Amino acid sequence: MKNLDDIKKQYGSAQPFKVPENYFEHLSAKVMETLPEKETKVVEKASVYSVWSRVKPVFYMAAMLAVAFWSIERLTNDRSGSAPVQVTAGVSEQASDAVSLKLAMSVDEYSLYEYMSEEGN
Amino acid sequence: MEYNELEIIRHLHDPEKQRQAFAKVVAKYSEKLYWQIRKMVISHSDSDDVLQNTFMKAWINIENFRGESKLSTWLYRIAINESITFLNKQNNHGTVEMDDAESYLANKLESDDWFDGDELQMKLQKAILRLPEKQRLVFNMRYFDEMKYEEMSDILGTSVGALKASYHHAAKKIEDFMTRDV
Repeated sequence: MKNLDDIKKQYGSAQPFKVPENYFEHLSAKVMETLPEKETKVVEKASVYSVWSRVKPVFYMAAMLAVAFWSIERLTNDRSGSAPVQVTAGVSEQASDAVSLKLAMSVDEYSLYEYMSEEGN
Repeated sequence: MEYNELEIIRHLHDPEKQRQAFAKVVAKYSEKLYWQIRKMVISHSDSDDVLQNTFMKAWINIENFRGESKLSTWLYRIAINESITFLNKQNNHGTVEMDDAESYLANKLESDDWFDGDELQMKLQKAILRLPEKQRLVFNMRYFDEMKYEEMSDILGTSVGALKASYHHAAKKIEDFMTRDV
């Protein structure tokens, strides 16, 4: 009977297993092919995003305020006649009755100017 | 090209050089890891699968490797865990009866086209298969790989004394088995 030492002496450290021909030659390439790509730019994108995410609410608020101011200005200067605005600023106390009446009717400023120029006022 | 582990580890943490560095790791350790796995799972095709899983796991977790142990130690640990996980899955999924795992592997050994040993080597391998998994690991690492106990201790997380005792008992069991059918 052979003990382990005898077996070791006879066979050495070799394992009694074999592999297909050229298995190890192709193994590295095969392993690397299966490995997924890693997203290397995630950190960079996150840092840009975090700056934008901080600025975004302020930007949006500023944009909203700008739109609001512009809208108010447009509404007060609206010449379509669809939204007549009462004009009182700069009107003389000596304006004609017609003018006063038209003012009282809250015509838009452009129509008022037109009227005044027609009457030679 | 010379393999410099410190440089490799540095490159493994550099996103632009990571893949190339990992390719060098695969080239250096794939064969050693394969044999480690093969001794556990026996079949060539199973070993190939487990090896792929080992490198996949290493690749996914490479950022977690801090160089506190050697790269080879870390890879060996993953390979051993994957081998044991594979064997447990076969046991748990009904492929093998719980108490018949040893016979299953012995049958696989006998029918394996890639077994290249004679009768005595077949008997030795069957004797090794009778050992509990961890003891089988210890025996294979010491007897075939001639690994130092200190290195085994790093890989398996077991004390040198316990490993020596485990090997001694394993060797005794194997020799008893080998003498039975003389």
